[in-house]
Amino acid sequence: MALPPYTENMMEYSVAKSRVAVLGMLDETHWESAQYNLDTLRSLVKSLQPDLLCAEIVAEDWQSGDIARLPIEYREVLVPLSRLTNIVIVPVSSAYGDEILVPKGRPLLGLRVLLVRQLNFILRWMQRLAGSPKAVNSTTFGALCHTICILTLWLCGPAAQRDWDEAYRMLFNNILSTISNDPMRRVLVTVDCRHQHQLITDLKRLPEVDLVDYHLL
Amino acid sequence: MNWVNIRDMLAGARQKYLITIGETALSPSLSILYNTMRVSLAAFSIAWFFVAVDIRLSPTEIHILIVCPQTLVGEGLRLLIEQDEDLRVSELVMNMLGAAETLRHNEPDVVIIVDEWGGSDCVALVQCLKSIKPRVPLMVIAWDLSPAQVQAILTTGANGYLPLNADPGDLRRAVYAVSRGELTLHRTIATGFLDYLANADVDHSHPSFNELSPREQEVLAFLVQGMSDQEIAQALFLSVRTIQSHLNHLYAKLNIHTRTEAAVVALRAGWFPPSLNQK
Repeated sequence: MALPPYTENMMEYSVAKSRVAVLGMLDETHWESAQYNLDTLRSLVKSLQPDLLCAEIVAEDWQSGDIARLPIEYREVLVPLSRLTNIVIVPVSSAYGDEILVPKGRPLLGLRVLLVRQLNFILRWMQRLAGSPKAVNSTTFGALCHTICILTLWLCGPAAQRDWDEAYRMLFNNILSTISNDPMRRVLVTVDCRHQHQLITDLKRLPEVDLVDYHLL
Repeated sequence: MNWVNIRDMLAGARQKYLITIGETALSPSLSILYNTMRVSLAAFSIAWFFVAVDIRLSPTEIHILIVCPQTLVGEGLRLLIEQDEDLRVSELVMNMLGAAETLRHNEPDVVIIVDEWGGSDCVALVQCLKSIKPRVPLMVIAWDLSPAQVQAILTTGANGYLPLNADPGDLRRAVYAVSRGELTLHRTIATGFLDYLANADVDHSHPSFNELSPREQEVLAFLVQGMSDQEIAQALFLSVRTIQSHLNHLYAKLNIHTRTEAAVVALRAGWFPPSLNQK
């Protein structure tokens, strides 16, 4: 069996694996004027030239061909780039929304809503501070995002937690099936930075995946 | 170094960069402005130089070899094609021997044959040129629009067929499509050709459809619709390299060498309804 090019001179690869990298994105601020450097993202993905780009977009939105409905990073950078290169975009998001809402009927509803709003405010503020993919994908940013996400889910209760987990499970399964359908390829996964931490942990456990930092893909 | 020394040093530097015209020294602010402009101009010149070199070295142009026995028709084609700044006719040859020799020593992106010979001569020329450079895409422009002739030309490996009365815009679009390796049939030919294939006897000389893997069948169905590798990859959510690998297996099973041949074989064998071939 022929090994993919990146394994040709690397003796440590006894079994050819899919080379996967996760790139956190700022999905929360898509509809705002986020201070996010799209040129950096463009040149980064252009230089990486992955075979497959698992994007956190809903398949129906993608297949409808109406890219105006997609987040700005996809609309302005990744979709145009895929048309100019051989990068294939695979939509992997579930139909669930990414917004975490406090369900009605929870005790101390007002206080919970207020705290969730404050946490969202902190998240957005952090996202505004992060001006590049490098900043968004730093360990500190990832840990803070993850912590805020956990706190928000705790405040919202078990139903919101279930919805969030279900959305994540579908996202993960879609990524997994993409990797299994087309093994031994270079795959870049672009996800909401709140999913990044969990996704990296789960992908590390898969034997068929060689998880690397996004700049090493 | 104390504070006074630093101040003296700055004053010295300022004096050094002050501009004098004759006996008159320009004011510090004008000197700064002048120096800034000078540095900007130098930076701009350097940047312009690199951009110019980059443009010069970038292979953006599509180089075309035209094989046409009539000088006026050939030169006319050259003028029409070169109206698009990215298309350039690098060679214009008049006869079959010249075409073979030129192709042997050059690497055009597309070969256009203007079929004035008709019938089997044109088929032989396509075969000859394909045997020299199998990967160079080739397009035929001809008067003869009979489905049998179109089939004969496409089966030998041509990527496109255009009538001589095609619109200049269609011609340039076809050149771009053929240069990408896509199968291009002019709309005036496509309908009759598909009807012809639909009514033709089923060809049993190739393996049956079931001998292809399900993925190869899917890829072939998209290929028959005239989709490029990238478009097929996007439709199936597979990488382009995987699609190319499926195509290579497909070619080996069908004992053919090009996507055009694959499409013709599939249509002749009746594997897909002709209506599928409308992109």
